[in-house]
Amino acid sequence: MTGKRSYYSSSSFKMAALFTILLGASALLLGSYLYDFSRQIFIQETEAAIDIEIEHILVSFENKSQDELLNYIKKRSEKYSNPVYYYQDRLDKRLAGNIKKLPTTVTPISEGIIQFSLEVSGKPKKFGAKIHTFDDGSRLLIGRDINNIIQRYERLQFFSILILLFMMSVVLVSFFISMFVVSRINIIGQTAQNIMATGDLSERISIDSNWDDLSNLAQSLNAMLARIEELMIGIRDVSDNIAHDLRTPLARLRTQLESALKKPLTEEEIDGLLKETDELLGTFNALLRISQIEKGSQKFEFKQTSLKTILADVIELYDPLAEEKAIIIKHKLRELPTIPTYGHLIFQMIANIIDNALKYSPKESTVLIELAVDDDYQLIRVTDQGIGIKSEEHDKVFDRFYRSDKSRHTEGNGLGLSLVKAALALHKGEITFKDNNPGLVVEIRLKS
Amino acid sequence: MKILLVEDDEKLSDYITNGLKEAGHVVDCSTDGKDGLFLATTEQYDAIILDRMLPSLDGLTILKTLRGAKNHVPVMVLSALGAVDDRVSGLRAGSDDYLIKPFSFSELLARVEALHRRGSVENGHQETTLTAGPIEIDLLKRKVSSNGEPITLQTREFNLLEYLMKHKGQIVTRTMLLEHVWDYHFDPQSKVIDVHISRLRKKIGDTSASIIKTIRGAGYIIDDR
Repeated sequence: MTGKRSYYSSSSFKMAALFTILLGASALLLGSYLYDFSRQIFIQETEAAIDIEIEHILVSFENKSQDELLNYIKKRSEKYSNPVYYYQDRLDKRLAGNIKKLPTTVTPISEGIIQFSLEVSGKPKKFGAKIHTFDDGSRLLIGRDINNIIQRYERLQFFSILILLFMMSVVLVSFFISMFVVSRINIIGQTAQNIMATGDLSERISIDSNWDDLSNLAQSLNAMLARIEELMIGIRDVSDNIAHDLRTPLARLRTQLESALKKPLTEEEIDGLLKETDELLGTFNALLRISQIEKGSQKFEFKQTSLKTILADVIELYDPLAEEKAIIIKHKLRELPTIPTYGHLIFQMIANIIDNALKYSPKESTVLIELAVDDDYQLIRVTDQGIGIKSEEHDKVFDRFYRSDKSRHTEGNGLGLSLVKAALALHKGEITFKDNNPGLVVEIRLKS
Repeated sequence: MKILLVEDDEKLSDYITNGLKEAGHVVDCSTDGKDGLFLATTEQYDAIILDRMLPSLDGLTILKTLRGAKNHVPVMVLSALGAVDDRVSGLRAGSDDYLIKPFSFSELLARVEALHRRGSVENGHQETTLTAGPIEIDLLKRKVSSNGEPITLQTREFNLLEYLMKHKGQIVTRTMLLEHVWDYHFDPQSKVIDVHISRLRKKIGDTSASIIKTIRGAGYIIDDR
C-alpha cells in the first residue's frame, strides 16, 4: 500500500524528528553554556578582585605590625563602603572593618568564596567575600558588592531560559506542522489510491480548511478531477450519441437492402440509400476531422490571411443557397490587417455558422455578416432572425451530436458547431452567443 | 488501369485496394516507402497513389526520385488535413493531385480516373475552346455561348463551367469543385454546391440537366456523347 504511509515512515516526520533533535541539542548546548559561562566569569571577576586586595595587604604588611594593618583597614573602611572589611583576632574579637558584625547566614558560591546579605543604607545588598587567616590566627574578611553582577547574571539566566522555551516551542510547532502535512498528504494519497482502485472519478479529496498550501493543492486537484470527470462523461456521451445517431440510418439501410433481395430497388430508392450512406460517411469524416483538429497532433501551418477575403468567399459560396430560401445576406466587412490562421479551417468554420444561420432562418429574413475590430481582436459577427439558441443551451450546442429540440428535425449531423469550437481552440479564438430576439448573434473573436 | 498503392495503414490500404479492384483496376500494394519506390521504378503503372507519411522513405522523396528519373506517371498524394498547405510543396515535387484523409472512396476513384485521362490528354496540344453539346467556351476571351448566343456568367460560374468542361467525360466530385473552383478544402454541410450547379444550369439553358448531369452518390459530369 503506497497511498497511506504510517506517520513514522513519512519524510515529513523524519525531517521533523531530525529538526527536533538538532534544535533541541543546540538549545541545550547554548543554554548550558550561557548558564555556566556567566556564573564562572562573574564569580571569577569578583574573586580576582578580592585576591588582589588580599595579595596587596599581604605584600604591604608582611613585616609590619598588626596596628599598621588595622590602621589601613580603618582608613579603607572609612573611605569606601565597597569593598567591605571585617577583621578579627584569633579569639573572634572584632578589631576593625566597616561591618559591625559577621553575617549570620552565609552561602558558599564556589571554593573559598561565600555570599551573604548586608543592610547597606537601609537596603539589603549581596556581597561575595573571601576570608584570609593570618599566621597569628587573626582573620580578615574582604567582600565586594556583587549586587549588580548577580542582577546581570540573573537576567542572563532568565534570557537563556527564555531562549530554551522559544526553541522548545519551535520544536513543538514543527512537530505539529509535520503531523498536519503528513495527514494531509495521506488524505490526498488515499483518495488517489481509491480512485485508481475503483475508477470512480466522482470521489474528491476532503478539505477542511483553506489557509494552507496543501488545501490549495487539494482544491486544484479536486478541480482537475472535476475536469477529468467532465471529459470522461463527454467521451461517454459522444460514444453513446454516435451509437444512437448512427444506429437508425444503419437499421434503415439494412431493411431496405433486405427488401432489395425480394424485389429490385428503383433508381429513386438506390439514390436514397446512397444519400444515406454518404451522410453516414460524412458524419464519420466530420468526427475524424474534429478529433484531428482537437488533438492538434498534426501541424497546422498558419499563414497570414485576410478574414475579409475568406468571409467574402464564404458569402459568395452561400449566396445562391440563401437566394433559394429567399434569405438576404447582407455584409459589412472592414478591411483589416492579415492575421495568422489556417485559412481552410476558418473557411469551414464560418461556412458552418452561415450554414446554420440559413438553415434555421425563416423565408424572407436577413442574415447580417460583419467584420470589425474589438480591442485586440478581429470580430466576426453573424446575426440572423432564426429560431435562436436558448441561453441554457449555449454551452451544450458545442457537444458532438447535440441537437436542440427545435433543430432536431432539420438536416445536419450535430457536428457543425463542434468543429467550430475545435477550430477556434486551435486558433485560440472565442465564440459567444447573444439573443437577437428573435434570432441569434454569433460573435467570433480572433486575436489580431 | 494498373495502379500502385503505397500506404502504410493496412486497413486503409485494404479498403482502397478492394474498392479499386471492384472498379476493374489492377492494384499493387506496398506498405513501405522503399518497396514502393522499387515497384514504381521497375513496373509500369498508369497511376500511383502515394501516402505522404511512410516508413523508411516518405512520399515526397519517392515522388521527387521518380520525377528525377523522368518518370511521368500520374501521382495522387494522400495526406492528413493539417498538411493541406503542403499541397504546394507536393505539387512542386511533381504530384498531379492531392487528397486529404479521411476521404470517401468515390472521391478517390473519381480523382484517380481523372488523373489517368488527364495524363493521356496532356500529350496533345492545349485547347483554347471547349464544347459540350450546344455550349462553347472560349478560354482566351473567357466567353460562353449556347448555340452561338452569348451567355454572361460571373467569374465563379465561368470557372465552374470551365472546370467541368475541361474534365469532360469524367466524374467531378463536389469536393473537387470546391478545391479547384473555390480553392478551399472544405466539407460542405448542405447542398451548397448543388445550388451553384443548378444556377449554372439555368444560365446556360440546361433546364433538363442533360448537359451537366448529376451522378448519384458521386458528383457531376459533362458528357455529350
